[in-house]
This record gives sequence, structure tokens and C-alpha cells, in this order.
Amino acid sequence: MDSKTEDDLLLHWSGEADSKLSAEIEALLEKDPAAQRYLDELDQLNVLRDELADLPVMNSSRSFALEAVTARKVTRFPLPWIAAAAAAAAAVIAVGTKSWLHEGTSQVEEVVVKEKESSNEPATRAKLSKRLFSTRPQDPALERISIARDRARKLRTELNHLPNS
Amino acid sequence: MDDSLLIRKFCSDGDGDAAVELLGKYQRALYQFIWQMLHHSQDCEDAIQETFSKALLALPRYREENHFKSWLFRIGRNEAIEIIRRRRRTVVAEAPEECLGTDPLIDRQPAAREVMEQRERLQSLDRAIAQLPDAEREVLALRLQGDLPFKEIAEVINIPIGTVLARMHRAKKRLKPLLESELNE
Repeated sequence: MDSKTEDDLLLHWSGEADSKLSAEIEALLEKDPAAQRYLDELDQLNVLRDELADLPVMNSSRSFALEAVTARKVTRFPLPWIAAAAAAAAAVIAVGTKSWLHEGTSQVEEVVVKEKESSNEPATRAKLSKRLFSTRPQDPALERISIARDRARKLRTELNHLPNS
Repeated sequence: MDDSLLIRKFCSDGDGDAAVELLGKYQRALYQFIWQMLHHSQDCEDAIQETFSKALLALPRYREENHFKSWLFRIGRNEAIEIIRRRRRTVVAEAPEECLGTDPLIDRQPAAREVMEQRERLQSLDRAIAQLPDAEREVLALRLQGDLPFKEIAEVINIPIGTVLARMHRAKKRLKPLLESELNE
């Protein structure tokens, strides 16, 4: 059998021969046992392939397709994540800065109140306390206690000024 | 679903499921082809991973006139060749002992022994193919495991179809005594 016939048999076996070549091969197979044997040997390769397909090392349970698509999604869309993280960080920084500025202003207000108090001598401790309390929000209960304490102090002062009976 | 439709769904609509279906269709064949080239499980997995990620990246540039399967196999082949070059690893079949282990239960149970004998036979067949020259084994694997027609094999390897047929013929001729020798050992 020449190499041209072998090539034709390979193409016929592979299903790639056109109708004309297929007809020629069919005619050849009827009269040439060597050609038929060649084709049978090629069919044996398919049996070999099917057997090897069961070999554990020839198969993997992993879904590489899914892994590749998932990995691509992660690497393809990092910008929205980065943008979201940056926005969150910016928000935290903004809130922190605002809070810090607010605290700073309160401290300044407090200092100013103290300075004013020191320049307006003589002042009572009650006024000072009241002003100090007025610069920052207070718990109503604490404020009531403070007012009561001031009243008690005034009463004590007035009592001290009363003539001894 | 048709390959071109899946490609369109992935490229136009960003449909990840379509890409999974598309690549999943050829994973088994590609894995078995690459196995025949590398004969090493870890290398094989690395090659498949790289092949799929490169295919996904290149898919928007894929042209309809090509056959997707042979296009994918060309990427897989290049990846396998790259791994062979990079790691300078000798292509040797994994030893049966490594694959099967030495389970004492297998020696005692007849059914398990049959399974083991069948596996040993398959290992012998695999070893016989591994002894073929690289060029012939490649064509054989693309035809058998990849189920690619010779015309597309010529496109994958970038050689004339006459050369593909000649290699296939030589592989078939050489394989016969190798199989007999391995199975009789």
C-alpha cells in the first residue's frame, strides 16, 4: 500500500474524505484486504482512546472553566471595589475631621468663656458654672443637680449673713 | 448551545455562565490531550488554568471564521510547550505505584484486584503512548483525545496536512509493537 492510499484511508477513517474519495475507498476496501486491515487498526485506536479515558489521571474533578471565569471576574472588576473602599475611607475621614473640628471649637469656646470670666471679677462661682455648662450639651439631671447646688450655696451665703439670734 | 452564540453572550452581555459552558464543553478533551503531552498532573492543571484564562482574555478578539475548539487547543498546546520549556521536565509517565498506592485491601478482595489489574493495563497503554516521539504523540493525542479532524490539527500545529497524516501513520505503526511490549510485561 502506498502512502497516498494510507493518507486517503486516514481521511476516510476521520470522516474528512469527500464523497468522491469515500466512494473510491469503499471500492478499494472490497478488493484489498491490506486496506481493510489498515482501517481495522485505525478503529482499534478509538477503542484505545475509550479505554484511556477511564484512567484517573486523565480526568480531573475540578471545574477549570468555572475557576477561570471567577478569577477573571475578580481581576476584571477591582476598580469598583477600590472606589467603594476609597469612598468609605473618605467618609470616615470626613466624619472624623468634622468631629475633631467641632471638639476644637468647643475647647476654644470654653477657654474664651473662662477668660471672660476672669476679666469680669468679681463673679460668682455659680455664674461661671452656668456659663461653662451652657457651652456644651448636658444631661438634664446633671443640670438640675447643678441648679440645686447653686441655690443651696446662695441660701448658705444668705444664712451666714443673717444676724445671730 | 452553539459555540458562536455562547461567545457572543460572553463578549456582548458579559454572561459568565456562557463562558463556563463554552470552556466546560472542551475541558475534558483538552485535559486529556495536555496529559498526553506532559504526563504530569500538576503541570496539566497549570496548563489548563493558563489556557482558560488566556482564552477568556483573548475571546473578544476571536474571529468567527476559526474553529473555536482548534483555537482553544492551539492555546493549550502552546501552554503545554511553554511548561515543558520552563520546567525542563522530562516527559515520563507517572509510575503506577504513585497512582494506585499499595492498599492491602486490594490484595485480599477479588473485585478490587480486578479493578487494580484493569488500571495497570490502562497504565501500560498510557506508557506505550508516552514512548512515542513528541511530534507523533501530539498528532495522535489531538486526533484521539481532542477528537479534532486532521485539517484542524494542521491548523493547531501550523504544519501542512500531509505532514499531519504522515505523523499519524508513523505513530500508528510505531504504537503497535509498543503496546504489545507493555501489555506483555
